[in-house]
Amino acid sequence: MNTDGAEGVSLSCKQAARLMSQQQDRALSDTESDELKKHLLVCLDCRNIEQQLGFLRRLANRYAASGPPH
Amino acid sequence: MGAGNKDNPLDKRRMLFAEVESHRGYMLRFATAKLRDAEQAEEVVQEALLAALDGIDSFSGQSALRTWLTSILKFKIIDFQRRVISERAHTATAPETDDSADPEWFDNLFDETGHWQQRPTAWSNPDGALEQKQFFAVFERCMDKLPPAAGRVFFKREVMGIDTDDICKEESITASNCWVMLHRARVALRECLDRNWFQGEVKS
Repeated sequence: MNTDGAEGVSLSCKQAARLMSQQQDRALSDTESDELKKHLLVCLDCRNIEQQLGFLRRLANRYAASGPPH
Repeated sequence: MGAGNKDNPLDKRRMLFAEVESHRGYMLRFATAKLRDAEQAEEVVQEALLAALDGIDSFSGQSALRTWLTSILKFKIIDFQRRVISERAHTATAPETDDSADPEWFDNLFDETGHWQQRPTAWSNPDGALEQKQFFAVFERCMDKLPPAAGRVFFKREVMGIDTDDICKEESITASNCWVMLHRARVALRECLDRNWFQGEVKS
């Protein structure tokens, strides 16, 4: 879903992606967190990204713990 | 290979040796992330593998083999760093970082209004990919393609599980620089996995 023209949405996907990544490394401010939530509410593309970034973390954990299945 | 009898202690040992060897690539990446030097990493991994083979009888099988090997490797890395520090004074090297504008490849992922240039689609059954050996090979190739500093920072953060504060100290970079590098690395990896694995899967 494109967020063009959506009211009250001020983050671009590029900015949202940055926050999605950084929330894995630091606590977001309240404003950042609110803006990100608003963006995700209206942007399917970034919801996909959010899921995939979460998967990337699971993948890295699995890679560290046992590696590929035998 | 493979035809060995599991009950024969000698065959069992041989199989375990082969399995230890299969973790070499992972161990090399781990050591390279820590030491930033491929040759030194190779040396440390050799030491760790030898120590592992010597002590293989103490491997209980309680933890995953990779976890056990990693703990040996960590000791060898610390040992190596101590030796190097005592041999020559620690010289500070210029950090290999980039805090300036986003690089072109990263900018190209977005259009001029900051939307995704190529819209990300959902991945079908990502957890199924975790059960496939080939998928991990793709993941390793994708990590290898990252710029060296970004690859190292990603590996430390996500694979080794180190806090960003500690990574900053090790890499002599600022926290915001670290976050930016991690972000670019994640986005690049996502894109690489998407292109080399998930897009093909959806079609099949």
